[in-house]
Amino acid sequence: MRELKFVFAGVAHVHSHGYAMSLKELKEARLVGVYDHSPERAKIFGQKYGATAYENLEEMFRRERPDAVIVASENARHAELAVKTMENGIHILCEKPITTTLEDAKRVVSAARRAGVVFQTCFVMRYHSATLTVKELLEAGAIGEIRAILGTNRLNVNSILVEPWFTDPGLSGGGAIMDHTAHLADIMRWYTGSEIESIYTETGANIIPNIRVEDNFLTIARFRGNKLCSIDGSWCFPDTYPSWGEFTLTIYGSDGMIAVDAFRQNVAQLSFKNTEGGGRLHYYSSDPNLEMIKDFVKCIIDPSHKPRATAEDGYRATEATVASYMSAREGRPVALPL
Amino acid sequence: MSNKTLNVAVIGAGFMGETHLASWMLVQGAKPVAVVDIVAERARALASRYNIEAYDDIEKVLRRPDIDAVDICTPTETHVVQIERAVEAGKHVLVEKPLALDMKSGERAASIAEKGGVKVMVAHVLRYFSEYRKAKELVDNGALGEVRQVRSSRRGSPPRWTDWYLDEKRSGGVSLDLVIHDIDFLRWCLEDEAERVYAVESRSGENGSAADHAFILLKFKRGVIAQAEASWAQPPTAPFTMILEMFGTRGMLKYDNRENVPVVMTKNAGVSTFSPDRLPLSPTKMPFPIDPYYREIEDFARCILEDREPPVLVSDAIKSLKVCLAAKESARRGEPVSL
Repeated sequence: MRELKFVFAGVAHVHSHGYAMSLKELKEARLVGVYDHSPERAKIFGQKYGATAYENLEEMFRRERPDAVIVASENARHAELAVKTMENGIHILCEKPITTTLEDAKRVVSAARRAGVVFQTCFVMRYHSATLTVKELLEAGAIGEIRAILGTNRLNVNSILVEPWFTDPGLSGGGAIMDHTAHLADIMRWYTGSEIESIYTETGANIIPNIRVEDNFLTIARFRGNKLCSIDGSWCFPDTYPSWGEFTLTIYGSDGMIAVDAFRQNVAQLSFKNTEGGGRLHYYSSDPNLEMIKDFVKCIIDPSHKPRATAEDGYRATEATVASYMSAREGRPVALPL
Repeated sequence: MSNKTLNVAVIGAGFMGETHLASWMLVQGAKPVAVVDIVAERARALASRYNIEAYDDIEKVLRRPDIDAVDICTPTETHVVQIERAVEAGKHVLVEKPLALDMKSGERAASIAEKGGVKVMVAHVLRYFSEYRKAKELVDNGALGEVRQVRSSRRGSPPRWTDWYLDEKRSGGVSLDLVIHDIDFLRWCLEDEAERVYAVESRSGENGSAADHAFILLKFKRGVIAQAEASWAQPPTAPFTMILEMFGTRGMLKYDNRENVPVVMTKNAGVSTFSPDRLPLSPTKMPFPIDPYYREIEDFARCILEDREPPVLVSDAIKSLKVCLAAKESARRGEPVSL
């Protein structure tokens, strides 16, 4: 079997580095090109991972004839890059949120339907060993019917401040709500097999000084069948928190409960202040980026293998995010679908 | 033998035999074809679960030309003679730790392995555990500065599922069977050898003749001091426990498997925990190649298929064995033993 040629369309998102490293581990795939609207960023990325840097997306498509594109630009640029990729008939792995507006999300979904390519949304938590184990337990009926899920996916503020565009609303589309509602809403949809029927969100006054987007919020989403879900994706962990952040779920079923702390498996490092200060957790377990890209490659090679998270799943998460902002703005629960 | 499938026989149908067999099923380019156990019924039961052949005598698989490698998961006392027979028969060998019960047979195994013309690897699986690899990585990249002190613990409940562990003569007790994991890890991680060892052992009496608790103090050549605790004295309700703490001039690291459980399920019937990196629950859905046993076996298979030297040679493993035996000697004599 020949190697699949991968390119990046946008590498502003920090996850692009994780994806590039995952590609290096796969025999079936090779990274050949990188485009970014910032030529400097494309060049640095290309040098780091051995890919040709391009200043023009179409030119990269023409020259490299890629099998697959990973879109990892700033959130607000996803839609344009995704649509162009699909118009060129190329398979696509798209960073979440797939878009920052509902109109864009509709555009992407219909482009995906027309193009007939593999479209996989980077809902990376569908590929983590812990959350997958839970999926199997739930499917086997281990705790009966899901009644409620409490989910948190909070971040160390340093994880945000490393990338100035994260707090630039024109590029990010928003703050913590935009960043992490998608992950939790998606895993809750995946676990419950149900859709959100109403969502209510409060935003707090900011914790991080001098940023232009919200950094903390609390959301309650009621899913069909009266499944109650709580979402917190705040950027509220101080910079001394010993890792990038966390992802936890407490799932209440009719016949038991499951607690998940997906990034629990760490070796803890604590340092003397005069050397580097503070402590760090070094995660050692399942690499969900790698598993996700492996699964994407499998979808391309074997058309009977379907993406675990599709453009429609991306759309639903964006819908929940947009509804959250509406609710926070208007101070009322917002009914879905929008 | 790059285009050929590596056919493997697992020797010993006990707990570790099945653990290894489950991993062999997932290794690309390899195929477990037979399981051997002197208790024919045990071999048949395991073989039928995995749909492979059963034998009651290793000689029968050694005679089969289509079998390329054997994976020895039998009680320690049987290891060396089986290594010898397998190497003579031209089979590659993976052998469970501890390699042997005494230095004489350990050294014999080393000389057989050296001139055998096949790959022989000792299954020191801790080198394939993600958390212990991460600790080594942190030490290697200087995150701790110069390491000064190490503490490790390895605690289980009495292994009563079989008779030989609790027989001091057959397993060597915790100061050999259990602590050899940590001794081997420390030698590998610190890239240093112990020069002095002092150990104390305890026997509860309820757990056969084997020492079921031991504290072992080590002094390494470059000055690191280490304590390794090994125990089979936990009640059966206590979870198997692994702790590693390393202290250096820049800082410390800490790992405790009891605190590192990502999935906990609670029901009326009780609590179940899941560490999915240890459990290939359903390989079709969760192909996580991070299970340490899988990694170890996959690496051994690749060493054969790609003609590489295995990472844990017998000549290396006997150094870990030697430290454990010195610990037992120290416990017997009540004084430190120099190596």
